[in-house]
Amino acid sequence: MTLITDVLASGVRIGAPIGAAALGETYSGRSGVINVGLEGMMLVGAFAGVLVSGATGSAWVGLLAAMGAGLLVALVHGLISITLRGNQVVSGIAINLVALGGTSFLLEELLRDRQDQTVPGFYSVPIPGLSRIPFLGEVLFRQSLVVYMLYILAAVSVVVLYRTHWGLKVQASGENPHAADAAGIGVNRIRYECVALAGLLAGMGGGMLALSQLRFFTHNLTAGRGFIAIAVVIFGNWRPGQVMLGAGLFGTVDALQLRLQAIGVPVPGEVMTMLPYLVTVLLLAGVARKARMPAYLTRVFVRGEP
Amino acid sequence: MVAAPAIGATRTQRMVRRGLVPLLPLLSIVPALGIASLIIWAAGVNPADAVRELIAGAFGDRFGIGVTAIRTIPLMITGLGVAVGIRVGLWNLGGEGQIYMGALTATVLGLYILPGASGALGIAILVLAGFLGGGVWGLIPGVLRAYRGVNEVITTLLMSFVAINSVTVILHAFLQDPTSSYAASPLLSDGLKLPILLPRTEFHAGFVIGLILAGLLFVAFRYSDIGLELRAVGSNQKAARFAGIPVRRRLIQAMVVSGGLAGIAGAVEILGLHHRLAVGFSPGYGFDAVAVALLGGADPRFVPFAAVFLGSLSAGAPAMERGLGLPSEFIPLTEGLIVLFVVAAYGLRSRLQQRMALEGGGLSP
Repeated sequence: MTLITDVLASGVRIGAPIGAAALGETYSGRSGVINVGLEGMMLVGAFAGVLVSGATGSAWVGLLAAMGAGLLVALVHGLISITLRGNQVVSGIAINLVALGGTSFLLEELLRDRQDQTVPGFYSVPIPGLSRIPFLGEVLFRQSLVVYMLYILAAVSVVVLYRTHWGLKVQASGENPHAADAAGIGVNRIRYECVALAGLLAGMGGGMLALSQLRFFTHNLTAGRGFIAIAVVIFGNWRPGQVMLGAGLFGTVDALQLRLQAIGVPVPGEVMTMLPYLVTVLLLAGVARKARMPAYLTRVFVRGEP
Repeated sequence: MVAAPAIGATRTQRMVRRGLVPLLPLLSIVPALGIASLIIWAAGVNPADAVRELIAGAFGDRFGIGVTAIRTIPLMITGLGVAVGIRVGLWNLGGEGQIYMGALTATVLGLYILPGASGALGIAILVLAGFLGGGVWGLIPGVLRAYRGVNEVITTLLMSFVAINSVTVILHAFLQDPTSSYAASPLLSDGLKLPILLPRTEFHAGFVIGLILAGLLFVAFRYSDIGLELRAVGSNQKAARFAGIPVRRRLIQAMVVSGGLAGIAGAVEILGLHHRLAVGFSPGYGFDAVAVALLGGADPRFVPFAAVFLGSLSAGAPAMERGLGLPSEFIPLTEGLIVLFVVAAYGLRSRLQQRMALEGGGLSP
């Protein structure tokens, strides 16, 4: 493996958890609900993943638990933002607070003395044949099984969002819920489904993060990755393919920065950390191209009210 | 779903609903604290003991009051900033970054441009510098929102991370104190320190600055022309535009003030507490300020109380941990629970009020 493929492969590995969360947020955003609490959902997923993986001895069961935990949190967000018509933004911030405090609290209470014990996790599984493809094979097909799952989910999402009835309903709910409602689409139900997906995928992302890279849980494990996922979604214009590319890009920049630091090149880590945010802001300002945000993103839908 | 008229609702029922419903957000703190108590109890601690330790830690002695004060000050000032945004219908989630920018400008000015300055004038200039630093960071999302319709939730968040990281880079590259082993700038001169209000603590005059700002904002919103226009914009942008109010300009101005206040908070933190710019000097005040603003009903009269409430929680937490073995992470957990319930209550309240308005026999929308 050359240096380039090495860095890119690391980039995929690092970007995958963010990509998972971003994919979920793509659905949610398209339907009109913003998930500032994505960070909290990832964190909760990571915690649940580590806890259950350690308890059951199976990383896959842990991953399922992670997804379930993310789902639960997302349903709370959905309840507050959709049914109770509370403010989506503040709900998300509150979720982040609860998640951060809650996971650290439970970490102390439940795992008091075993905090740095590692649990069963995911390891890379090269796909025979495909992994031999020069360059692409080395980058994409020497990852863990969960990452392969993510590839499939991403591809499926492109089809689902643009070619299925449900996907079109999702888009309608975010762009013009009143017209959608008039056409008989259950806007709030669609939004619930998308928020649930966001929670599942964010939980999966958190589980991936904890179980593939670290295999134990620490305070604030996600360290802002949920926010990066949101930036990636905006960067990707709420299109699954572009979003995944954005996640991969971020991962690669991160991997590159780590590599440079290891070599001793004095690139401040913070410059790299800042790049995805800066680029996204510039994009939003219309520097490169027009960002097409779903028109009703963050707006509560109430039948009969503009 | 259109609400069916409440045929058969008794007069008493309707009166109770009319009285109870507006108070929902305040009442919602009760179930939040109830859940918090359950968690405490499940952790093997008596909730009453926990509350007692918390209060003792936050207010029981001189030291505790000092810690409560220094936590409260940035929460109050930044919270006021967020509240200004909320009043015009904007969500400034970038408080953290604006705090950093304000701290940066104040530090740079204080160290290199006006090192000889001191006293009230010097401090005033640096506070103003803080306002400018944070204000610029509020201006950009404000302009993007006013002229391009870009959602400020997203831009303020993103810019916050840009700011925090940029300030760290600048600190390492240009401002690092060679004599210090911490990632921090040199100390500001003694003449540029805010006076201490409670001897033998770190309770500094930033508290007074915060209260003055709260008073100014209250007066401005209630009695000035601009205040009226801002409230109108927050109420109904379209109607405000028809009334001839320059909506875009007001939105931008509100964002500048919102960010500027957070910038002042950053400057005050440096001038009153740290006296130098150090990496990570703000433990998330920018986000907590959103909770403060919300709990204070976005009203400058109540934001200081909300700030004291949240400040005392975080000040009392270590005492709770020492005395009862309850991990201090419990505090952000409780904070989040409270905000969650309050948000839900606000939403529920507006739903119920809509339904009640329909029942009242008013014209249907």
